[in-house]
Amino acid sequence: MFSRILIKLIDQAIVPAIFLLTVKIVATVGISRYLGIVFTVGPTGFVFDSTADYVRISSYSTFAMVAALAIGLFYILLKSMAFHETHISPKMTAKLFSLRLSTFIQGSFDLYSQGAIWMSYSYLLMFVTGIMSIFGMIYSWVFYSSLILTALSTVFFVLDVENEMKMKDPNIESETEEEIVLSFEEN
Amino acid sequence: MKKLEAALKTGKLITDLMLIVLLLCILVLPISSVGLLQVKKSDSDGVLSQQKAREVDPRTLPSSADLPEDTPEKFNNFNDFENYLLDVYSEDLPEGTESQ
Repeated sequence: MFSRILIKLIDQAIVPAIFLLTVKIVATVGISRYLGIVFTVGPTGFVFDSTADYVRISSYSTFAMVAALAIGLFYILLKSMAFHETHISPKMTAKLFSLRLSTFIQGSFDLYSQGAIWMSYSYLLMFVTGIMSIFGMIYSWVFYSSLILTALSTVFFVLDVENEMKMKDPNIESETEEEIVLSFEEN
Repeated sequence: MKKLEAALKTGKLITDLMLIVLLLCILVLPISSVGLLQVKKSDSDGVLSQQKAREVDPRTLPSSADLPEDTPEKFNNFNDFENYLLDVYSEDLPEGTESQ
């Protein structure tokens, strides 16, 4: 069972890792070209002539990573809040099937493993940007944007998990739902 | 039978540990890309390393005993002190010595 979860997590972690790495490299090259900042590519990475250029490009490219992370997290949260197998509305289900988008409807195991991976990236990036910000290697607003993203996504993710737990636990009664029993009798 | 079960358990544990390590490596990979950016060595070094050592023969330096009596007790910075010394001892400097 434990191995199954780990394999699932590894499976889900590869695509975001490649995505974030690509965003970082493309953002570094693209923003440097756009701002006209000269750099050389050495065996250890991108080498900049001045510290000011380094801080500028490092900040903007890291912010691009935060933005990419926000897109990924938004996609996962949207799936878990609106298209979650356990609490998707019948109307939405019918609509998705009619649009041939039934793959959007996913179970808890898939959604939470994806969510855990994206959240891990978010937390890791927040810690790294925090440390870099302390040492003046990036602008502090990059760290704050990462912090806000992590905090918001954590809140929404926890809300969805709570919603799921309420549905699975029969002891927790929902206050708003009204139960209607239909009885069919022969006259 | 018990030995086999124990071996299977150990094998499973090792597999799990390896999977955890692999997962951590994958998680750290994109985050470590922030270290791809670097600054040229010469620019990243501190101000002190940029100051070139002056080639001065200590034997040519005057001792404090040789300084004139009206020498101030304090100078604003080293350059002021250096200029003062050059003014005072300009005649004593060996040929070919230039002030920086």
